[in-house]
Formats: sequence, structure tokens, C-alpha cells
Amino acid sequence: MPTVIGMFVARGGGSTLFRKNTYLILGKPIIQYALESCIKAGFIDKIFVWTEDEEIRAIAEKVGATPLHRPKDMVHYHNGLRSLHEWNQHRTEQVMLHLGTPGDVCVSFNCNNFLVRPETLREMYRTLQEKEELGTVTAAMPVRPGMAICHPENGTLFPFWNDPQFSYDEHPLLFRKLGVVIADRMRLHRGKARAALHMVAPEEGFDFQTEDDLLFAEYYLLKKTGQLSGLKERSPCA
Amino acid sequence: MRVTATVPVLADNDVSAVKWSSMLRGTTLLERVIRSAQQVKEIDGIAVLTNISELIKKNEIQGVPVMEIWPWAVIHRFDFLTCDSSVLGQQELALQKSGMNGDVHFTLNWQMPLVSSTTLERMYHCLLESKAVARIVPIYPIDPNIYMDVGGKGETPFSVWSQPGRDRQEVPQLFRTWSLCVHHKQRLAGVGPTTTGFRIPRLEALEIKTTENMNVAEFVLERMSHKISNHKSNGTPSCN
Repeated sequence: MPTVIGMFVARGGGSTLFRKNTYLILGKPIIQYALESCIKAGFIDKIFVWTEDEEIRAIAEKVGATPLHRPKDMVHYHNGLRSLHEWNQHRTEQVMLHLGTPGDVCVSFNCNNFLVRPETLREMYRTLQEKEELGTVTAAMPVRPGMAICHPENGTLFPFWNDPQFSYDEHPLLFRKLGVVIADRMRLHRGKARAALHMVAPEEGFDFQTEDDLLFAEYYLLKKTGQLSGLKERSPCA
Repeated sequence: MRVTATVPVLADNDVSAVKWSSMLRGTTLLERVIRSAQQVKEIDGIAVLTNISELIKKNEIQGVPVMEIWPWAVIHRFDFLTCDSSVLGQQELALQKSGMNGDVHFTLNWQMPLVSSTTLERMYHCLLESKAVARIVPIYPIDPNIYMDVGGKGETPFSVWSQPGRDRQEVPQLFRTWSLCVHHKQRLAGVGPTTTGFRIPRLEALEIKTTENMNVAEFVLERMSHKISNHKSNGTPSCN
């Protein structure tokens, strides 16, 4: 049986919302929701949290995950001190110390996507197991067409994936990759491994980035846990 | 200078579970939109344009006249990024016919009932303070890492707006746009009219097309304890 590890790369700061990973939604830090989803998935042998932050370490330990030391020169993506290869190596060495193996399969989980369900993780893993040619399976959600780029000099909007000859329903479908990926290490090393997407509903693919997202996050979380009792059943029309 | 606003309500858009008459915290979606427009002191005239007989029979709604929409507009997509002069010409003619061709004109969207009057006012001022902008539409940033699923089985993701290994915050920003616009009649008549975006708050960007969207809106409004206060809107122009 392959050794499956979970890997959370979680820092204390945050570029879009300060201390996002420990931000409380309905009384619980978002990283805890994400960790619990991985634990409930049931197929991950050991879950690691690579962090420099004491609070995140404590949350990881509380739910039964294993915190890994993250040096302060590997916290900021653009500090110019260490390469991403060094980051990966540092993590892998620590995983080796714990397990004696770097793991055969790795579930990488970005806490922004804390609403991804355990069932989804299981389905993604099953797909990876069943299809030998796959190196990774990444969760993805649909993206509505009808976008625009803003010209950097004069602010003019330039349409993107937006052909007025067609209704939005007729545009080729687009998907956004989420930060939840299951990768088979050996297949990736062999090369030519293919990458697959695993589609999830928009509410499951919700990406918590800023304070503006908070109320939406609460709604989706309450819905996911069946606690939306306050809202009456709605009939389509008045 | 005359400032006008129309709210198109088309039968084609009214086939989903959510209708113009769907209630959001005790008010129909359409009435919410009209109410926001009525709170914009710069707007001189508002009309609902529709091909829905039930609405046409009402003659007026919330004190605003309901007019039968010109046949051409029934198939108009209200794509406010277009530079196609024939489309723009037809639009102007149609507005003339309805008497709603102000020097500055808002086309509102009944499926965006949370857009506040403050946002509309700011769009208006943004338009007139600029020297050359013909149209302003609401925008909201959306994330990159966008792929096309070639073959439709999720097995061949083809990169459309993404660069593996690059932090998503460094990828050129994409924006969502909506069918809501304020335009300047004279500038719109020029060649290749300029359209810019006005970044609206996340909540106001909620487009209500499904009962799920309605439930989200209801929940969010409930959590905010009262209907959105126009004074709290913090939309800021992101372009210009």
C-alpha cells in the first residue's frame, strides 16, 4: 500500500488577509476545518503542517496533525533568500525523519479552500489510483465566461473569453484550479504523467481570501454542515 | 444635461427560478433596483423596459413607467464592452424611441439588486470626471489559474490564464463584468468608445440568477442586520 501524506503549507501572516489561516469562522480557525476534512477523508496516513507560527502549530497538534518546523527565511515567497526547490527539500527531509519515506502520494491542501469535502478528496484519490497515466489530480471549479482585462495605461476594459456572438451558455467551459492537489510522487518522477481536474461545485470551491468573503464563507459553511435552519424554504416566485 | 436610467426586464432572462418579482427580504428584485436608482439624485428619469405582458399591464411600478421594449432590444445582449458601431447605433435609436436617451444613461440590471445608489452615483461621477471615457461598468477581480477542459472529461486541462509556478497575485488581473452600465451619449458615438471598470464591493457584485443566489443574498443581508445602507458602500474606481 502506498504511503499517503497530507501537506499543509501554512504561515502565520498572509498576503490577502493578515493571519488568514487562523481566522475564526463560526468560532473555528479555517485551518482547522481544512485539517479535519483531510482527517475525515480517511486515506491519509499522516498529515503535516509546515509552519513558522506557534498558533498554527498548536491547532495542528490539537487535531492530531504533525507540525513541521518552517524556517523564517522560507516564509515569504519573494524574499530572494531560498529557492522553492530548497523549500520542498526542507519539507521532504523532515517528513523522512518522521516516516522514513517522503511518502508515495501527497495531498497538498491550501487552507483558502477549507470547504473542500472529505468525499471529494476520496474521489480524487480513487481517480489517481484507477488511472495509471495520471500524476496529479487537482480540484477545480467552473468559471463563468464574460471577463475583461484592464489596460494598464488608460484603464480600458478589453473583453476576455467573451464573444458577443454567443451567449455565456455557449462559451467553451473554463475551470479554475483550486489549491487542493493529490500527486503521485513516483509517477511524476517517471515523467510524462498527465494532470487531471476533479470538478467541484462553486460553493465547495469557495476561495477565502479577504474579509469581504467572510459572510459568504459563513453561509457556505452553515449550508455544508446543515445548520441553515434560520433560512426559510424559498419558493421560486413571489 | 439629462440623466436617464432604464431597467430592461426580458422574458428570456425570466425563465429561470428567479424572476423580477422574486422577493428578497420583503421587496421584489426589480423594486430594489428601482429604489436604488431613485435614490440617485442625479437621475432625472427612470423606466422599466420589458416584453413581459404581466409587467406591461402594470403601466408603472414603484412610481416608474413600464414601457414595452423595442423588438430589437429583445435580442440585445447588453454587452457593454462592444465597440461595434452598428450595435451602438441601434441602441441609441432604441433609446431615442423610448424617450430615455439622456446625455448620460444608466442601464440597470434587475438581477443585481444589491448595487447601491452610492455605487451608481460614484460611477456617474467617475464618468463625468474622466475626459474620454464613454462607458463605465462594474467590475470585480477574479482569480487566475484558469483552464479549459479539453474533451470535457477533466483529463486534459489546457492552460488559458495561468502560469505554473507563478504566484497567482502576479498574474495579470482579470475582472468579472456585468450587464450594468452608465454611458455618455456623445462619447459613445465616437470611434472605438472607451469602456472602463468601477470596482464594486463583493456583496453588490452578487448576481441573482438562482434560488441559491437568493438564499446567499438573504443570509448576507440578514447578517448585516438590515438592508444594505447606501452610506456604507466602499466601492472605489480601480481603473483610470
